[in-house]
Amino acid sequence: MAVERKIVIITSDGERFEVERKVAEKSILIKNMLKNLLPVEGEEDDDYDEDDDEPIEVPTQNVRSAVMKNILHWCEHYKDHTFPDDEQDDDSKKSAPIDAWDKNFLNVDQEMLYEIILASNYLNIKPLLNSGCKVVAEMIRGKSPEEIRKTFNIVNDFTPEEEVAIRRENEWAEDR
Amino acid sequence: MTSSLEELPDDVISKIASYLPQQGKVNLAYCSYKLYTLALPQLYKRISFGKASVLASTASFQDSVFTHVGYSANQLVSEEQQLDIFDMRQQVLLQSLQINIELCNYIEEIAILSQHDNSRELDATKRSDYECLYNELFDYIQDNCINLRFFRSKSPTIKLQSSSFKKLPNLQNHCMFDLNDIKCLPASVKELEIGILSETPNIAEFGPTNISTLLQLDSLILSDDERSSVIFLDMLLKSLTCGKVLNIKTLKIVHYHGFNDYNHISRELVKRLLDNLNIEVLKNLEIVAGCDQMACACLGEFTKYMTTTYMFKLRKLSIIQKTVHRDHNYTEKFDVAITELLSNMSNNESLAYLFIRHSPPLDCQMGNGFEGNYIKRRDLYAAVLPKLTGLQTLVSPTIMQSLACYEQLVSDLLWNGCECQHCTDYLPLFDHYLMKHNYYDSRSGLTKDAISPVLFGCASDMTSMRLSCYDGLQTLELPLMDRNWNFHGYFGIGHEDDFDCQFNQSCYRPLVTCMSHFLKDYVEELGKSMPHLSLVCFSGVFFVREDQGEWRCLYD
Amino acid sequence: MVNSLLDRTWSEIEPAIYIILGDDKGSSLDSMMYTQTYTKVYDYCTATSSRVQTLVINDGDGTGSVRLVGGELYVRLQNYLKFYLEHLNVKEGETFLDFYIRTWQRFLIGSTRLNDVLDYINRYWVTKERADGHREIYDILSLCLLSWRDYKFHSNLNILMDEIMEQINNQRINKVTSTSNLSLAIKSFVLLGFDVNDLKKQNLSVYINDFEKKFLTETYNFYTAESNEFIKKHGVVNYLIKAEERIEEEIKRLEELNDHTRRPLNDCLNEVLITNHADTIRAELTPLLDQRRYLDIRRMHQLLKRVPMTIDPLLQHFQEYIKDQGLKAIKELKEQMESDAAAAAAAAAAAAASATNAGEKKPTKKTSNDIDAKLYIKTLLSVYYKFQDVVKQSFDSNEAFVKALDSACQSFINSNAIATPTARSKSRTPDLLAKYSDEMLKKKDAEDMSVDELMAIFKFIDEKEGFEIWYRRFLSKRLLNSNMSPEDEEREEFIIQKLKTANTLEYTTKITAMFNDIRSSRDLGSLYKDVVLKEEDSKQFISDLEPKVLDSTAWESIIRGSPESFILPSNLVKSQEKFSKLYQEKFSGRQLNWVWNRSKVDLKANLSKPGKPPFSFIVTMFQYSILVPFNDNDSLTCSKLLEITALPSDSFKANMIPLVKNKLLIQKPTGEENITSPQTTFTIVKEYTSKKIKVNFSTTVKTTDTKSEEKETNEEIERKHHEILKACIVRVMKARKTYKHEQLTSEVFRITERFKPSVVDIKKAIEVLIDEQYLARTDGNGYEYLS
Repeated sequence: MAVERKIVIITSDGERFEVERKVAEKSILIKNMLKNLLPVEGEEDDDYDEDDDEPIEVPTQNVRSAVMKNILHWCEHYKDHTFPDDEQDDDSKKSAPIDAWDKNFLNVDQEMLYEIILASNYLNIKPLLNSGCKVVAEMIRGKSPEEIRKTFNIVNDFTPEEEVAIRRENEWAEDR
Repeated sequence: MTSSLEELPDDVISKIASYLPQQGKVNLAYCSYKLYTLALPQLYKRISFGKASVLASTASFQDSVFTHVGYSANQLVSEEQQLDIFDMRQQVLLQSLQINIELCNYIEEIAILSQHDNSRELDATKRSDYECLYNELFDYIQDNCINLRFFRSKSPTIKLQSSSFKKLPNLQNHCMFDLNDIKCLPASVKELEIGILSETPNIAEFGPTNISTLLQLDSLILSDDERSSVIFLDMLLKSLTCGKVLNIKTLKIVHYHGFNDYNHISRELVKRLLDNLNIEVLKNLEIVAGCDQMACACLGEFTKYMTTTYMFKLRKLSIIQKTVHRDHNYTEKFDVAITELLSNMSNNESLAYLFIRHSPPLDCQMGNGFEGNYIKRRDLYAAVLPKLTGLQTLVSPTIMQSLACYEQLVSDLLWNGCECQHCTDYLPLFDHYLMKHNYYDSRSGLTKDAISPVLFGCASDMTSMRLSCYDGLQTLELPLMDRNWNFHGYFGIGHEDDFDCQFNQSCYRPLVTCMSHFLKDYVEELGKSMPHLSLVCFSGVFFVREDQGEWRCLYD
Repeated sequence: MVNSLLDRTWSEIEPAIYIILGDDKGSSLDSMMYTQTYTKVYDYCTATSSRVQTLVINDGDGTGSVRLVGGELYVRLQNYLKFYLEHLNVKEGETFLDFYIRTWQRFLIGSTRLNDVLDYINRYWVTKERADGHREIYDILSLCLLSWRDYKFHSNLNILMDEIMEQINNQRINKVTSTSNLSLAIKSFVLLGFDVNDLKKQNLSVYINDFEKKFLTETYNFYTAESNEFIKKHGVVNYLIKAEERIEEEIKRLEELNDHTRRPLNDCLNEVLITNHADTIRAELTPLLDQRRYLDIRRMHQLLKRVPMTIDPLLQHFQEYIKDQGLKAIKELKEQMESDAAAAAAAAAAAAASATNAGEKKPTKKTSNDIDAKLYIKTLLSVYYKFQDVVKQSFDSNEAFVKALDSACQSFINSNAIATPTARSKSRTPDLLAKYSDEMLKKKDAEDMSVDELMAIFKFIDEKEGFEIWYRRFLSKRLLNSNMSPEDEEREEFIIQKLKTANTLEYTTKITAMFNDIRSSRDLGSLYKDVVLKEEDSKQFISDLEPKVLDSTAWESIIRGSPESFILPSNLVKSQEKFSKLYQEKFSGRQLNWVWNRSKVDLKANLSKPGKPPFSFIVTMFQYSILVPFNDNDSLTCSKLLEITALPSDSFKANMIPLVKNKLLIQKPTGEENITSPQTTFTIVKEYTSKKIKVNFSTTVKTTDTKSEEKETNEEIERKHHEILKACIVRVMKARKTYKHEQLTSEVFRITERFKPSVVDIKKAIEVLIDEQYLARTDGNGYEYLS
């Protein structure tokens, strides 16, 4: 077999990251794309020759290079790890604590955290998305509504009447 | 540039909300209208009911799965007040669902948690778990929550009415108390549990069309109730004509050999059921096993039969000891049988989840509780567990009670236990407790001085009850309940009238912490020989393995 | 605003979707286009302003719940797919089938890709909708397939199926491989089935209803016509080959079809190629067997085997055929024997008439009663072995055919022209077989007879009891008359072992007992000799005594104590008493009966010419008692001899005849009729003349047994049957208490194993039991058990 072709990921700001295929394939988006770009009979295949040394270019319009660098760091770390893709097995994983490495990895400013979450959603990297969401959840946890609004830049758009109504509505679920 | 939480895509926000404990979800919903619309479905998605509060955790997300309706988290609130709170919460929920009918669409799962099962006798003065439930609420839910997928209840009073089936197109499970339910069981139901069947219907009425839903089942949970299981199996097997096989993924069976051996038929039917299964497909198995005969080898024969007859490819296995034995020599037979099962079962290296519940006597008074016997029993497991190379999760809800049956072992824990600051501070305190308290020994009919097995037995019984008493395959998917003990009660534990007793709920968690230190040694030992083991629950005390292989206790 | 975003997004992704599904120019998809399209969709789905995110689609169930953005794109795509598919057209010179396969192949790939490119709609919107119970929403791939089904498949189903079937029929007629890739077209039927509840689940409804049904009907019709024609033209034997080929071809075709069709197609082929012609095919069995064309029979079996229900009649055919062959062989044998016998009789008559010098006597002529057992058994075996071979060659030793062979053999072996000359006569096969075994065992090396052959026939014998009794009778003679060498004993025991394994232990107890009696008798003999030789006056005893102490139950009816009166010669009395005493000491409580009529004596006679060694005579005990007085007298009268021996006159006569005939005693006056007249005198010769030194006088003694031997044996068999039947009936009645006559009879039939009782036998046994008050009659033709 020929040497595996490199993957070059091109970010929205034009930076190019050359990575191993298995690193790139942590993104289901990229994985599917590579699978789908195999030429179909009757199609003229201009950029997928068997003995082509040219790397395969993957443009990712929604991720900027600073974020992609982080994402690829994560992918590199887990490149030899197989995540169970069976949906049913997710139940026990769902309530599991955040993986310590991920927690450390996601210890970034809020802006970057959002962007990593967005990028993992866009690139379809579920384990990273889950960890990201869990980290945000831990930030919200234990905070009052007012504190949450402050932390996350949220404007209260309820009328006082609405506020009373929803408080009554969900009173049963509140800790006391 | 993303600067506000609200700018994340909706499904990401929903996902974040799903990782919040219920108060977190509520608070998020109060922030803004958008967050309200996204957090609320998560709040109402899964609701559990039960006479306790949720065990809060800052580390795991176990407390985010369900929204619990129950007691106040404040442990010092009296039982009567707690019941009032429980009652009121149910009423408010009902009102809310009635006012904003939209909320009903969010509800997908209802779970009624209960400690009430056969192994535990109820204190007659207390109201049973089911009596505290508000029937009207559940009737309303059945009638209006069209997206309901799971209705988990073992109660014959709070159950799904067969008349509601038509309104619930997504219903996936059903606990059946009336065999006639089969006739109208919706095709969406994949999990069937057999409760205590009300009466014996005319089995001849059940034609092939009624059975078609049974053939599609993914999960079949047979009842501990002998009669119900026999009726159901008889009907099922009769209708399994012309070589039809069931493709069941999850199965619970009972092997019980009682004193008079009325159970013979049931055991035979179970074998026939297994013969009619596509064993390849079976992934999750729960076995309730017990033998009341002192000198009987049926457990060993049964496990041998299981391992030699079937090529199992299980992912999850749960084993429950049915009979309470008051002597090491009898209960050991169970251990010998199940360790043999584990070691000889085909594909045992693919097993990812193992649940073993012993039934030690509640007061942890057991004959022949010598140290040598303890070592023998421990070695049985020490030899077999490492063979389960793929095991990730190990749950043994009563292991501490079993250990407490060996007095020497727990006395050693009390006097020469862990040397950390916490234990050095607290252990002498509990020694003091033992000196001042006594208990009623039901076997001799005398009040005796409290001893360490009693102390650790009661304390670990309480932690075990953190797990809701569903079957062993499912129990970790349900919320954990916070439990507390005031160091009195159980079997008449008390003190002299003139003793000014300071022991109450506030001392409980420190005791559990001491226990967790004791149990951690076992977990670490197991972890060395089992590379994939990442979650262990011993008597309700949870341990997870961190990246570097260190074990961390989650709650205590 | 939403709508303008929607329009813009759609207009941006539409060209790419066109390329992905396959455009006119065959443009390829590059990574830029791929991610751009994905991103556009992603941006559209995630770009939402806070409160304006609801869009209510008017759906069927009227719940009108909140829907996330994404639905509009889904609807657009749905419409676009319709448009796209409706504009796919057949090229010039292309058949519809080729067009279908070409476009389907491309569309399937396109759909799979589109499913990934538009993944965010699946993940974000479709999942949610389906979770909410909107079963009419599908993931993109399924949506594509559904569109195909609605716009390309259903509307063209007739022409599509016609062309597919045309191709298949072409393959069948011309044996050409199809020009188009049929399996692709057929697989599309499979993929187009949907389970709306679980999209991952395969649902074969489309395949079964739209393809399989028609396929099966056409297959049926095609082969009905072909097979009828073929048989008419080329005959059954060639058809067998043809059908085999056709089935193989069609099974190969299954590779192109869905596995679901395996059973129905097999059923269809079996019916049309086999079941429908089964009678015609089976009718060919007899001629093929006659012509020994076992390979063709094998082919027939292989074919019919596919339809088990056609095998039963074949089995019956086969069984009848073997039975007929067996009966025919025996009938021929019988005729042969009769003509041989007639010829021999004629020859004998001729010889008697021509030859006056009757120096040598011809062997006694065969009567019809005297059947050559070996020939008979060999004939039976030849039929059995022949068809055993057929079963092996043509039927792979199939169990059912082995059984048919066995039943047929059982039938003709037990009743045939020789064994049962009349319908009511009892089968003679058991005694002929016993005789066969006797002949075999008497020969030192019977190369052409074997135990295996014996057992082969034995297995089929209904009358196992009868055989046993006959066997014992022959055995007794072998045991008593000849000295068995250890090799002989070994052979005997080998057979006993075989009989034991073929039957029950109990079956051979008596045979074994007989054997043991002879052995222990030998021991007794040497014990006696030892004791006697130690006695002081040992000369008074006969030391060379060969006692045969026989257990009366095992030997019953074979050897019976003689009823005759008899006085033992005085010189033997001491020996007899000594032996009796010894025996009683060893086995106290047993009764010893002396069977003089079976005893023999070896004696030395000093009647030789001087200088010649004395003669050695073998005589019966009775002859001995007659000869002893001649030690003291040269002549004695009949009356005197009768007085000394106390023999009854007929026994006296029977024993005397050989002595006189062989000229040891001279009778005066001569003539057999005078032997027993009181005044007849017998004189001993001074010098006996004989070529042989050893003369046996005992063999020619006509005993009373021989005449009635056969009759007695048959009586014994009947007695035995009677006892077994009685035991059987009692056993049944003990369990049932009351029973109807018919039920009782049929149950008795069922449980008697070793022979086949007749209704009359059973009735007789019941009568006896009633007489003996074991049973009583009840009202209405039944019985009651009396305890």
